[in-house]
Amino acid sequence: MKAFVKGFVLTFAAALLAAGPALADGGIYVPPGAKAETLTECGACHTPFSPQTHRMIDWRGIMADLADHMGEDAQLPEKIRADIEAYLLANASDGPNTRSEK
Amino acid sequence: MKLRFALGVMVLTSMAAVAFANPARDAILAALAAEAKQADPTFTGFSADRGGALWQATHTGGKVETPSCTTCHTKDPTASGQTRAGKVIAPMAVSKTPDRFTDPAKVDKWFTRNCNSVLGRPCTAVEKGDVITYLSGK
Repeated sequence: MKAFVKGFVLTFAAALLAAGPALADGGIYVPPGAKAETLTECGACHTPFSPQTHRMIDWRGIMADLADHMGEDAQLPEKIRADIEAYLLANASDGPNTRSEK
Repeated sequence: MKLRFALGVMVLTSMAAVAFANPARDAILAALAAEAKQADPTFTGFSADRGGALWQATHTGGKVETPSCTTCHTKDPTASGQTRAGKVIAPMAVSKTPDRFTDPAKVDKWFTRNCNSVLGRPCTAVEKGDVITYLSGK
């Protein structure tokens, strides 16, 4: 019984390790589906900007003040907001994903 | 044979009658009604007329760019609207966009944003229920 549990835990740990590459070089974890959320949520009001059009510091500022987003209230539930921010930061013009491509 | 025909007609008519009803929308309205009743025990029900008045009115207190629901949605709920950035908004009238007010998270998100933009404060449960009732009948 114990061996079975141990095996299960090991399998789980292995699965976690296999999921590792989802972490970008800079340590920004981009949840699966974050890009789709970005296109849906940002695209509801305007043509979504490519993440590479802004620097990380700019995206952070934008995503920190969605209550006054170009004069519009664009607040999101925190989980979705955080997912979108992770995608934008990881792929920003100076973000880890963009830098590692070069 | 006659019975089968009668049954068929009954099924078709009942389907037509519930064409604009939707269990998910009913649940959203029921939750708002419970909230309204809790805030005010004399609450008796939502009103499409009150919802229409709120929808069509010009308000102060919100952002100057958006004094009314109609700023973006236009005065005709069966018509498409436009976001300030130029994206098309599908009609709010349930007759034109049948899945309106069927996703609680979406309903929450947009009332939170738009009541703040237009009124400068959150909408009450009565206001939300009235507006949904108004647009469900359009």
